[in-house]
Amino acid sequence: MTEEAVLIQNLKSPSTREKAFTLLLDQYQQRLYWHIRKIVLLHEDADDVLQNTFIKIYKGLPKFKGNSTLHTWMYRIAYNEAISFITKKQKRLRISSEELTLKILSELKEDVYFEGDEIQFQLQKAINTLPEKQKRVFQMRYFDDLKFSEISEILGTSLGALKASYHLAHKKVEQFLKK
Amino acid sequence: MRNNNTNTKEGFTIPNNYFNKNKTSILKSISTSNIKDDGFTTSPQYFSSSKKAILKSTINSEPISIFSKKWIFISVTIAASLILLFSISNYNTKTTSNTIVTIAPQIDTTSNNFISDETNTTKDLLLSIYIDDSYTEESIDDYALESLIF
Repeated sequence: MTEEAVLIQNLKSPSTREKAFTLLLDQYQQRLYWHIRKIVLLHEDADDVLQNTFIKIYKGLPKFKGNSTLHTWMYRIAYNEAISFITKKQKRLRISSEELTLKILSELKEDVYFEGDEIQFQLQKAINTLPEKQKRVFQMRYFDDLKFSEISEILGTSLGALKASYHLAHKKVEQFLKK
Repeated sequence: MRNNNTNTKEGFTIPNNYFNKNKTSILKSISTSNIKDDGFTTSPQYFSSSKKAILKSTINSEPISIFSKKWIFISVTIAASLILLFSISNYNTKTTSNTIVTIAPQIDTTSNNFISDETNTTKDLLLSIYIDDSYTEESIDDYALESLIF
């Protein structure tokens, strides 16, 4: 039995669930945080999304069938939560997605939890000019070092389309930074 | 103002000891909040305090439930009264209309009774005048009027 299979078994059993969940938090908290942070950009927002993500994971564990790896399944929940958070924020502020991106970028510059230099800020700006799908593929591949097969499972897109998207995104970011 | 956190990634930073605090916070929220499938939660004290409140209000004043015997008895009584009232009014209406329909063909203007009927009608009319006059206190000779009628 693999380590992940044991962890899943312990997570599903009521007697060992809490201990196993603590272990799960230790293993995945940071990875999921950074995954979320690259999507929502601001720490306060990432904090909210991370909390919701782990509560959803906890609630969803009894229904987890093991069709994908635990790792991919949790990334998908985190990704969906982050996207849902952005959509809600956009609706609440009654602005377009482009306006929201500009607003977040300006807030990021003032954020005490962003210490990036000008090049790092320009990289975020470049990524946020990309179309939605290219943006997410680029973030997952470039920052999270996820395999294309994992990204494919998280986003529900074919491998060929993903590779094409990443290639295009990479080119656009390069061009943006060369300006 | 910049934080002095060393945990950075592409310029992004987090508060000191963030992951430990967040872990505690998540574990606390999972163990203390009553997580339901639809995402709604309650405070851990909610059910015990609401139980107390319900018991208190039950002891002080007994609420009338729509399924209580008292409420059913009131409902049945009102319904029976309404049915009875409706039946009586409906019966009276039918009797009047039937009388008109059945009496009308019995009038025989060629018989001797027809004259006596007319006499009776006149008597009734005069008697009603007599009664009305008693109320208006006009100076009508009662004796003369009675003799005229009878």
